Amino acid sequence: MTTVVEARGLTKNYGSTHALQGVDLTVEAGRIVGLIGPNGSGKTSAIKAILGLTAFEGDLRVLGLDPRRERDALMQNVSFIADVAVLPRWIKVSQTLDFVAGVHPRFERARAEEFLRKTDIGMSKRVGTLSKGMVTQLHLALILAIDAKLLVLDEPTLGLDLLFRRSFYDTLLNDYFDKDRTILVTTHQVEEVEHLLTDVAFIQHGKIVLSQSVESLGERFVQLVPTPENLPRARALGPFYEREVFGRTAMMFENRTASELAQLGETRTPSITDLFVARMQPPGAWVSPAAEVAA
Amino acid sequence: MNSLITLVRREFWEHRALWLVPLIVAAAAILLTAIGGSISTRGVVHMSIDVDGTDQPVQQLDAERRAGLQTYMNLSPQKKQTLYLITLLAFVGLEMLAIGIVVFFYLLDSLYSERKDRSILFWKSMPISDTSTVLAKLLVGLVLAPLIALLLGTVTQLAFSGIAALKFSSLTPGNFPPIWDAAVWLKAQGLMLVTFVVAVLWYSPIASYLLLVSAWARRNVFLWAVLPPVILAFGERALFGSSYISAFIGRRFMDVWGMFSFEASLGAGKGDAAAAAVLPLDRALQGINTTGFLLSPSLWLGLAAAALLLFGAIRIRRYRDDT
Repeated sequence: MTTVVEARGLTKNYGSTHALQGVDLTVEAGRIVGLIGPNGSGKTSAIKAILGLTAFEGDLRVLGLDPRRERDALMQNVSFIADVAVLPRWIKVSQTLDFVAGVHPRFERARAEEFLRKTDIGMSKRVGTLSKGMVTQLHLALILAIDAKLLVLDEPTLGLDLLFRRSFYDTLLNDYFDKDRTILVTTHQVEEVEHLLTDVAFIQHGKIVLSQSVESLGERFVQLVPTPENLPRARALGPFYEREVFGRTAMMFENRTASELAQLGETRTPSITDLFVARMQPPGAWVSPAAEVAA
Repeated sequence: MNSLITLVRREFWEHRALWLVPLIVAAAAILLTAIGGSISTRGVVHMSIDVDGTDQPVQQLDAERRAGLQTYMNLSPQKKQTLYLITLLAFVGLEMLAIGIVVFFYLLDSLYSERKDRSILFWKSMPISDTSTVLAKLLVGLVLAPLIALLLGTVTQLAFSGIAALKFSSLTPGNFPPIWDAAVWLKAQGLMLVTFVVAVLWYSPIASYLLLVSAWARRNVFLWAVLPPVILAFGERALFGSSYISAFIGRRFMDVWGMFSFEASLGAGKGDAAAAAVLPLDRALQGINTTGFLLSPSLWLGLAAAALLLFGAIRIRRYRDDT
């Protein structure tokens, strides 16, 4: 397996704001990695570093290249959508196709046109006259028709309606993704990408707080809903998060086996959304109200 | 090569004034020549049918026009050629003035608007280096758009020559030599081409400076481009009473035209005085010294400055991160 992104100790400061505080991240080829974090957690800074769009400190290799010095070579094999609605308003839809076809050796125009045929976007329209959703569709049609080794999407569906978001991720998975391609997607809407990721990386306060393949999540994390009489015993095992759901308490454990916990109640592998919520609590906030009362 | 062509096309898509303005100027110049011609000829042609005389139409013109025509008719063929050459160059000059203004704003906008509308994030997702992008914009602003204007200027010249020849021949049949003079026209083309090359080299530091400001300024690119030199010039005058900076800027804009000494050939005054001041063509052309200009240190220092300014613009576009 080849490594597509290898980051060690990425640091980035905007004045006194520490956007990245030593990010370590490894992305292997053929994976769909979700870089997930709340707003202001450093997602975009990390993405910009990987794309060579911003200066930073630390070691970073993307497809074996340094994005700071070798960006031009890197862009032959990387495509990205860094933000929604960045297509210029003056350009015509047909001109966007002409342009990408003219500058990108790996662009398959017919493919982009096929994407566009499924939409209501007219070829002679200017981007400025399209709705926000249409602009995003157009941008996606262009980017998904590029045969890139690494595709980076930063909040690709921000501000779009549910139907379109769903069809976008379906297209990404069914028509675009294959074993030779790697996708790195950031979002703060975890539930939307949950079902398609192979790997997750949680980022918080400029640090990666969790980086793991989805299939191995179950080995590390277990969610337990203990029976009421087992609640104190379960709590004694040190859950890192708990919350009340319909009068019952759900607890999140790390590095405890399911068989060990199964004696105390119902266990299951937590969803990425559950894990995200559990992990993104400010330090100390996971202490349950009950535990606080006990103390 | 393919991507260079695409980058150039993209500039003309976005900035339609680059080809529309020269086209409008050419159309207006031709239209005015034609209308101006038809208004003054209509009566004349009408009269000449009535009176059936050759000298009669000239008498129908007002005194000044008649005097002007008389003066022109009295000029030697050599001097007539000089006037024809100057007229031809004036049409191109009009085009160049117009495109100069368009290009000024184009270059200022070219690296700024992509940051303002954040489309730079799209352009940068394509495998094009910042160097190619900036150089393509320089190529369009400094060479290609002015070249379009130059070619349209030539079209205007031909249209003018045709219209004027028709007009004059109907005016006084037999009395006027045909206005069209192929040798002079070719001389004008040669002169235009040489001047074009020299002007491209001469103006490259100004174009590069505009690109640098365009890549650098957060807003108000126009003020950032214009105010610093103006403030420096006024500051110098206020503090030291001298005007080296304004003189330097003036030279940078105007010196390239110093290689023509048409002032002498255009002359001053009216009627016979003006006619006397017009130099014969060969002497008018003698005053032009392109080789000396091409070898002048200020041209080469300017090119060096252009390279530095461009390098700055490319670096800023490459490493800037505020979108």
